[in-house]
Amino acid sequence: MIKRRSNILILRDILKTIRKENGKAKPTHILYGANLSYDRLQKYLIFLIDNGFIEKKEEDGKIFYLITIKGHEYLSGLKKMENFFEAFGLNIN
Amino acid sequence: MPIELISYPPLIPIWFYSYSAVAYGVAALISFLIGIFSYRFYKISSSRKNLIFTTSFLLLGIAFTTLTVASSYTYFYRPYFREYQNLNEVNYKSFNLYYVLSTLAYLLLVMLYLPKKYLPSGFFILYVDLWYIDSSTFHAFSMILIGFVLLRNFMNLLKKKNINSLLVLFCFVMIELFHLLLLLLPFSVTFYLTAHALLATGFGSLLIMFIRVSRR
Repeated sequence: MIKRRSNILILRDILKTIRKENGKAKPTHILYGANLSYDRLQKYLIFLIDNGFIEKKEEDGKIFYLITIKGHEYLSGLKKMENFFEAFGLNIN
Repeated sequence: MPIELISYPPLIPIWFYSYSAVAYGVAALISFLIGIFSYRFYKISSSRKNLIFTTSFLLLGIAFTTLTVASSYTYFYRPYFREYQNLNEVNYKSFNLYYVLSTLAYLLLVMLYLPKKYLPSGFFILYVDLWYIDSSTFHAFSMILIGFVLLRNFMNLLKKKNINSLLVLFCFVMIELFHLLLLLLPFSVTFYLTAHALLATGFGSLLIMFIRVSRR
């Protein structure tokens, strides 16, 4: 059985993909990096923009998504939490 | 040894209570710290497991706070009790509350390590409800529960092989020894001091793990 990723893991994967692309990624890169369908990606991108984790920018007619300081902090906080629960042998996600 | 001696631990010197008040205080503070840290994660994850973990540590925090208050009360207000100085009502009621809260917290911890199919809903609550509160029963039952958690953490250490997992395992070993020594209290009242030193040390190792994780 394929285990479904939780929302928190999907958000993490999106943010990680943008960070990996030097903090600025095209929607197609995020799509492949986070392994999501176009429709689902849009839903998560809207959530991340509304919460200040990423910003949408348009340059030369192309759309980019930029990770914000809050997004970086979110990723680092998430990593700490993962390490914390891993120490207890628990997979909380 | 007559059964009465096993069921009712001997009275300990009053000054021991100052010592245990500090140990319980340390355990309470660190439990709250862990519980609050976990709650912050629950707010973004909404994970059921995360909620169980948070509740477990917050319950432990409340349980140890109860004992901190009871031990401090017994120590500081000892002139008010004539004979059987540590058998005052605050102490008695606090310990009973601690037994229930702590058992519930341990049961929640056990639930975290059980596969989903072994989670009979309501079973644990029913058990606590029927449970006869008594010091020896509590410590023996706690040893079984923490023993299981300890085993799972030992397996985790073998898998992960890192310092943080070792620190968590160490904490559960200390809690296990804490209950064992209090169970053996009828044999020597000095076990009381050792048990509380181990409890504080165990929670101290949890604090070190917490600091290590937070600093990164």
